[in-house]
Amino acid sequence: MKKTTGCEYANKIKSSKRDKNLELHIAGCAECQQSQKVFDFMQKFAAQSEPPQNLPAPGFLMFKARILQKQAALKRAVQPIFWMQIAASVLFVTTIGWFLGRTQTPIISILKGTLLSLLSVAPLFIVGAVSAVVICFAFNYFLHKANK
Amino acid sequence: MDETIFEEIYEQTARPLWAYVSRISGNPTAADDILQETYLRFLNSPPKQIDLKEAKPYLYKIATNLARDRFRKLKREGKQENILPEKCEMTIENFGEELEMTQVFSRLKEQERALLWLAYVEGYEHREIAGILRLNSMSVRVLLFRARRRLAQFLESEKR
Repeated sequence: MKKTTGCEYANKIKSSKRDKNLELHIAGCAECQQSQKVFDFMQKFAAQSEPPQNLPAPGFLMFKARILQKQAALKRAVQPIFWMQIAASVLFVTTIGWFLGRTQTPIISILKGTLLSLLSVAPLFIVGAVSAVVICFAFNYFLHKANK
Repeated sequence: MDETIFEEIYEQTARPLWAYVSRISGNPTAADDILQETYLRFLNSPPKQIDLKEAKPYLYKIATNLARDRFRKLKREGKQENILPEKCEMTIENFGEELEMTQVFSRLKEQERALLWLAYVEGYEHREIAGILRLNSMSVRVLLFRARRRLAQFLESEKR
């Protein structure tokens, strides 16, 4: 089987503290010398990776986290109200429909006729709206691509 | 979470975490945003046991995921990362060397950068790296070997 993890000792070169055996091994092993080079590079590179002085203060982060938690709680609390509004609207429309179906007065008949004629042209409106949306998206996509 | 505990964790981890994110993402400005988001997520859902030993790898895990998401987003949008060391503390004397090192390191894949940093700068064991990068422990061994070899090759080619 092909060895894909290299020399066993190479993984031990992770700190500046070395025992004599490891030092002796590194001196005679090309793989470990390579590992040593990488270790030295990484140490030097890390030493040059000083962060800026103006990192955010921990107090500010705690404050921001608390505000975000409160916002999330508020959102969770409002969510049932939104679904209840949807349910109420559906119930209202269903009741009106049921009422129209049962009542037979001239005004109701006119309303019914208007509704039915609107419903008959509804598919056309839907097709038109969908086409408009598709055209808008396609236009936006090509505009975005052209800008790139 | 208790403010003093968080402050202690922050003082111990913020600077090395910033350096890690800055180097794996290759963008110090992005590192600022990722660092802030990391601590906000940490405060929002802290680990079961809140001490430095538990918190540090957890923070690295969050930061790695955020950096990965950002990297994928940039890739989707076809944008490239700015690799210039713009915000690190440096003098004119070490600017050239710093830039050279940054360029060599940026030739590695994002996962390789993370692996090398966690192993050689943070000194994490394979098992811990596997936890942070969501990899198998044995895979870490192989991937670290490959990353090491690639970096050594780049260093050799830079020398010539």
